[in-house]
Amino acid sequence: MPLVYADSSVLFAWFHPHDEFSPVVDLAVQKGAPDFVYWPYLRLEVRHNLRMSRVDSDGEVAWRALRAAERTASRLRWQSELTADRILEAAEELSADKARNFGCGSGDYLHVAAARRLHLLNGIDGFWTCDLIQAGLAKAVGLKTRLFETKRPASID
Amino acid sequence: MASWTIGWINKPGPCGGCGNWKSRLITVDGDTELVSIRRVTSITSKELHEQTGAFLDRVKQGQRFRVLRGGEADALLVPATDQIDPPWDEIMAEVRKARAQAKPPRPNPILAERRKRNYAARVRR
Repeated sequence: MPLVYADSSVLFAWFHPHDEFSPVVDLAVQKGAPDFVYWPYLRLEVRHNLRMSRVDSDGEVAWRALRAAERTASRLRWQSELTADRILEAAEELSADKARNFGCGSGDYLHVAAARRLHLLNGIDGFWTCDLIQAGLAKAVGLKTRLFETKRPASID
Repeated sequence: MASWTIGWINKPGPCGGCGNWKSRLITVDGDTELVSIRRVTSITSKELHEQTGAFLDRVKQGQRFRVLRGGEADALLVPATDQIDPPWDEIMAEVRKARAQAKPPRPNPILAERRKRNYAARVRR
């Protein structure tokens, strides 16, 4: 199975039945059948947002699917190499190098730094995101990046 | 102690997207695939201790063993290449069922949060 670093925006869309990106992410997973990288910061972001969405049956379905995937060893592959201290340091270095050119948030730098570290160590098969600015940063550090887009613009409160 | 049954099936395979059999299918010709249906053979922990290398060789060849201690099954020995986790199709069955219901798409909350917080990007515009 290919191993992909999917940003939390993609993992949320994968698990939530009616996220705006669900159809395109579902299609991509069906085609490539990848397993996904999982580590503490990514877990926090995905879990937190799915917890917040547990207000209806869709949110409950999404939460149960996430928990089922977490119980596997390979669908969400836990990366013991990605420890918080190492990745904070790597993200800080990446920010020092790129922040002037890429106006991402600090969380985006954590994701891209983690993906870059894994890619350098073991090689990963891609970086998936629904975030245009983050995708630019990922490409700039040499990751094979896939940006998911939806024709329907997201309405922001 | 026979632990293998060999059979042939016509494509498509009987388990469609289940994934678990895929690695065990060997194409014989355009229409037929060889399927090995595996049984688990019980061994005792004493046997495993005395013949570890021999059992590992057999596992490497594809056999599976149930290790008994005091008559109870304590562990399974399976090839490292075996898929032991459920495939995505199984994990996501409920999600896909819910997805099939026509409902309006919702904004991705992670992107929404990032856009709200992204002061630097707003300043640059």
